Amino acid sequence: MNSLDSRSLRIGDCYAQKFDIEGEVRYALSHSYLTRALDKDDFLITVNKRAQKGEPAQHTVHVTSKNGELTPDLNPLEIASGDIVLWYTTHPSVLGFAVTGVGPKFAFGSGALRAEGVYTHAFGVPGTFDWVNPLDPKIYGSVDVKAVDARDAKQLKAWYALLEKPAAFEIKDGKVSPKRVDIVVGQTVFWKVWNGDGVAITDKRLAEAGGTVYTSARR
Amino acid sequence: MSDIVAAADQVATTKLLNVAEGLLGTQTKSGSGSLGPFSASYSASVNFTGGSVVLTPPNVIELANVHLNYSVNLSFGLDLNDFLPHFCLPQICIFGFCTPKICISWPTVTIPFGFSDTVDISADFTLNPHLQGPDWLIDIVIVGVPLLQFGATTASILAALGLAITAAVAWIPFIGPFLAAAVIVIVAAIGIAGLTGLLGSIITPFVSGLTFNIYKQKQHFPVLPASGPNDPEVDINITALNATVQASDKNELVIAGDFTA
Amino acid sequence: MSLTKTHHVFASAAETGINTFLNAIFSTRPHFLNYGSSLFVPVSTVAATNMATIQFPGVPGGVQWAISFAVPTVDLFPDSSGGASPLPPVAHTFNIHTTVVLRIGCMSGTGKDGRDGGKSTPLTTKLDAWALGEIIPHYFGPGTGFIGFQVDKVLLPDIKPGSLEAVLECLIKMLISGALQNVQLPFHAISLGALTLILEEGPTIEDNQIKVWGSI
Repeated sequence: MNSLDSRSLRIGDCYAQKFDIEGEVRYALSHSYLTRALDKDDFLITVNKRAQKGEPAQHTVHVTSKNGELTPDLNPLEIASGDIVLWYTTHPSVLGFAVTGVGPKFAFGSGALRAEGVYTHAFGVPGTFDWVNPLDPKIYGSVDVKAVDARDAKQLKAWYALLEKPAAFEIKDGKVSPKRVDIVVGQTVFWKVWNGDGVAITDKRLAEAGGTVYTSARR
Repeated sequence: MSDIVAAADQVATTKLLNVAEGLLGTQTKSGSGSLGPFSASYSASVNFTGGSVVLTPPNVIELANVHLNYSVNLSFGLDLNDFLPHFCLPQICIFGFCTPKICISWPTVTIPFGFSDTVDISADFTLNPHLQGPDWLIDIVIVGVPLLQFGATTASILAALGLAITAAVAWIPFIGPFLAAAVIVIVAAIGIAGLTGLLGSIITPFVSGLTFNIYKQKQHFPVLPASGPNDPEVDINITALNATVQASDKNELVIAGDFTA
Repeated sequence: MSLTKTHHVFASAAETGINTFLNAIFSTRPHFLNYGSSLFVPVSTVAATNMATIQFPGVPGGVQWAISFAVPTVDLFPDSSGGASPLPPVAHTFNIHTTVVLRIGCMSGTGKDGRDGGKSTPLTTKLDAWALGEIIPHYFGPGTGFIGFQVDKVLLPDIKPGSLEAVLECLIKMLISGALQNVQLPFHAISLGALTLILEEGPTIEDNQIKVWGSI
């Protein structure tokens, strides 16, 4: 329910992508690996030229499920180049989804993070979580999550303050920094991908059990 | 004078009781009841062991400290939103963007819990000799319903329930920091009164009308078994059977019977 | 005084119960009371037991005979006959009253003219018999075993001469003893199956009852 897997986003996960190239972007929301090509019936993001003085904006897309179909609350979406689109869900019936898309001369997706792609995960249970990129096992790291017992108001307040502090991995030129982060239950970890052919962030146990190599979507 | 008279003192009657407890075996029952503020479904099994006998004329057998050994498996639904605070993951900003505030809705979970214990009961029983179909029976039947005192072990059962709740919900993401305090509140909501109330409703039907059988023989009572074609089984026909408690220097259970060839 | 005394269980069979037991045994297995050679009992059945003839020179096929006892009536000490019994039971004994039917096949000779040659004619006599005896326990373990009946003396009233009476009394005593060897009263029957008795005292005959004591 709180599994670490950018290929299957759940409550407490976010996927954010920065769009620098103007043009039409099509994307799909799926429960599993997308096996078909995207077409004009898929969700649309139009990336327009940025006004000279405009500051980059964030567009937050809330994903729900209607009659079994995954649905974004913003569609179609018009953004300016340099804007960020973030997908997330709060719907208990959304039991994991992936974002897979293509734009002019690039592909993107939560299962294959590329330049300016970010995956976030809030850790709900304590333990040590070794994660790996199943697309390239040389990219890996570890998150150590400590338990918290907040029995009084003071302990609760201290814990809430910790939740506002993120921890982060940066993946650049095939290298991960740092190799390990230490957090408490409830804190959020960010994975920022600067470049590369596609990174999936997956709990090592899931990657070893799954055995399926994920590739980017086709147009 | 009856054709046959058999007598047993309190020591022997206690042994007859122990045999009868074994013959009664394990009784089972399932149903639902209130566990404090929760509605619980359960299955329960009960057997009886031990105890001592005091014979009181003319027909009362007092059984003291009979061990009622019970085992209960119950489950109840727990809406955690009733016991956990409203919790949201805060907005966090980094790398030029911010995650949204995400509020967590706690689930409703089913808590399974099983436990076993013993409660001692003492009660008067009356003798009931009767013919049932082809058999003569002597039963001892409980008078009324004794008070069930579940005693000091109830607190440890409640503590075990707390552990069961913890185990059943610990997997829920983000519950960890709230769990210990929530379990204390949930267990307090049930309380000793809630647990003993449910136990009373579960156990009482096993005790109400409790009957032990201390004698069962065919009305056509076999005296000698068959031993060849010219030696068929020899039976007698028990025509009357009576059971009383008689007083003398020591009180005795007396069974008297008449029979014909 | 309690029935169990210093023991934990007690069981007793009253005189009426003992007689009902005997009635049940002998009415179900009457061959315990009826014996005879081939003229009277051609083959053993539940009703009677076939016995060999008494071989004697000159008696073709041997002497045919039969003996039957009526279902005996038992009187446990003390005497219940009101003085009518010629052999009342004494302490720890019982008496038995029965009727003995003796038969022989009276073989006629060849005769002068061959009349009735070799014919066997039954002749019958009935004797009133009283016996005195004691009970013998055979205990094998908790709830198992039986009570047997042993005859110590037989009285056939009004038989003359006295030497004939002695001979017949000895004969009847042997036959009754042999027949009663088959009569076994199980311990479990004395309590109608209520108790699995570990025998500690008895069986004794007193107060018109057979009594046993023990534990379970």
